[in-house]
Amino acid sequence: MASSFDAYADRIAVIQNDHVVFDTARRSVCLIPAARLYVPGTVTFPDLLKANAYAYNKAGLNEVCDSFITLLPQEWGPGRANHLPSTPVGTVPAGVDYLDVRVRLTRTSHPSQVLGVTVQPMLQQGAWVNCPGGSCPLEASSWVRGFEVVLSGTSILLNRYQSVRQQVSVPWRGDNAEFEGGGAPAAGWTHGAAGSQAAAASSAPSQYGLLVSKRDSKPVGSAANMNRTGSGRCSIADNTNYGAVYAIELDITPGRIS
Amino acid sequence: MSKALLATESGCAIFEESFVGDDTLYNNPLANLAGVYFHSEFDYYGLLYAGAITINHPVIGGVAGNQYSPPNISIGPASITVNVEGQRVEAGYVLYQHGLGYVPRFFVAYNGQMIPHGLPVQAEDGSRMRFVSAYATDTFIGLKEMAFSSASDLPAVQRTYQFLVFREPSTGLSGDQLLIEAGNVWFGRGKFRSSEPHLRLVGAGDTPYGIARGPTAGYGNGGIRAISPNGTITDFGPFSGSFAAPSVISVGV
Repeated sequence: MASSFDAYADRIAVIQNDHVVFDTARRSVCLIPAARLYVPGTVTFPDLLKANAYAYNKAGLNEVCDSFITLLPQEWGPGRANHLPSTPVGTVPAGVDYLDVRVRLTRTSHPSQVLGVTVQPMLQQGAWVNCPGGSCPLEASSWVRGFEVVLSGTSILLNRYQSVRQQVSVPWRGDNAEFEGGGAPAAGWTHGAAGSQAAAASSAPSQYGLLVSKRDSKPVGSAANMNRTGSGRCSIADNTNYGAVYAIELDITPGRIS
Repeated sequence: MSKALLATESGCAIFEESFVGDDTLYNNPLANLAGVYFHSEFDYYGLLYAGAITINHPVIGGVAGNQYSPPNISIGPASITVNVEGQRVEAGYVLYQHGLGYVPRFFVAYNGQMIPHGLPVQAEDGSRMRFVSAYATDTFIGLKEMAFSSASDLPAVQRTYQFLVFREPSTGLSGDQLLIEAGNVWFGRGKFRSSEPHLRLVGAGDTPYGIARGPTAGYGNGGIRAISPNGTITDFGPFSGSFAAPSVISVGV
C-alpha cells in the first residue's frame, strides 16, 4: 500500500494507501463558509380552490341529501395560472454552481383532512433534512405540494408549487339542473361553485371536483325539501382549509462542483 | 497555466498560476473559484464514515374505497367511491449512529444516486410507491419512509442504502497550514486530511454517485414527476405538464 504527495507542473495529487484522496484532475466539491446562509422563515401554501357537490334523492315523500366540499383542478407556482411568486432567499458569489441545502421544518398549520384522513408531511419534521438538488415535496394526497430552493444566476430563490388533478369523481346529472322540466326537484348529483347553494349553470369546470370533505348529511325523515335550495337542504358552507404553513430553517452553503 | 501550492502562516492553497510567483488566486479565491483546487478559506466534504445498510421495508396493505349511496331510496344517483383508497404509512429507520455531537453533512444514496426528495425507491404503479428522505441529528443519520398503497398492497421490498458522513470542516483544526510526512498530508491545518478523502468529481477507482444540481421534482395535474440523477422518470399520480431534467454530476470519494 503506497502513499505519496505528487506535485507536477500540471497536477497535484495525494495518494493514501493506493487510493487517490486529492487530485487537481478531480476537483473537490468546494463549499464557501463565508457565503453560508441561515434563513429562518415560513413557507405558506394558500387554501385550494374549491366547489361543492350535492347529492339529492327522493322516492315519494322520502328524501335524503348529502353535500361535499370538492377541490377544483388547479396549478399553483411561479408563473402558473395561480401565481405564487418566487421568494428571494439570498445571493451567492459569481462562479458558484452548487448549493448544499439543508432544511429543518415543522408544519404549523395543517390542511383539513381528506375524507377523515390526515395528510402527513413527506419529510421528517424537526430534523435537518438533506436536499440534494433542492427539491422538497411535502404533501401528496388529493393535491400535491412542495417547494424547491434553486440557484438563478447569483440569486437563491425559493419556489412553491401545489397542484390538483382534473378528474370527474361523481356521476353528475347531465344538465346539472336542480329541478326537472316540470319544476320538481331532480334526483342526482349536482355541483356548485364555492359557497353557492345553487347548482352551477354550466357543467365546467366544477364538474371536475374531487370529493375531499363530507359537509352535511340528512337521512330519510329528518326534513322535507332537501333539494339544494330547499328549506330542509344540506349545508354547503365551506368549513375546510386545505392551505398549510411550514416553519422552516434553511441552511445553505454555496460552493463549486464543476 | 500550471498548478501551484502555496502555504503561508495564514493560509494554504492549491490553484492555477499564470507565472511562477503569481499568487492572485491565493489572495482572492472567492473571485476565482474555477481556478482554485483547495483553499484554507473554503470547506470541503472530508469523509468520516462510509457504509451501507439494508432495510426490509414492510408490505403496506391495500384498502378499498368504501362505496357510498344514499340510504333507503330506490332511485337516484349511482354509488360512488368516496373514501380514500389505500394507506399512507410512515416509518423511520436509523441508518447510522455517528455520535459526533453535531449535525454533520451527509449523503444517502440508493442505486448509485444521492437520493433527492420525491424520488421513489419503489414504484409498483402510479399510485403505489415508497419514498424515503434522509435526515441527520447530532447522534445519527435517519431515514423517513412514506409509503402509499392503493386498493392493492404495496409489496414488501428490500433496499440497500449507502451513506457518506462528513466531518464538520471547522472541527479539530490544528498544526501548520501544510503538513507532509510519511503517510499523512494535511492542508489548511487539517481542512484536508489524507485520511479523509474529499468528495470530488469521480475518477478511476471511485464508486460513482450521481448528484443532481437542480430540482428533481415537478408538480402538475395533481401528480409529482421525479427525475432521478440517472435520468429515470417516475410519475406519482396523474402528472402532466413539463418538467426538465436537472443537470447531474458524478462524484466519488
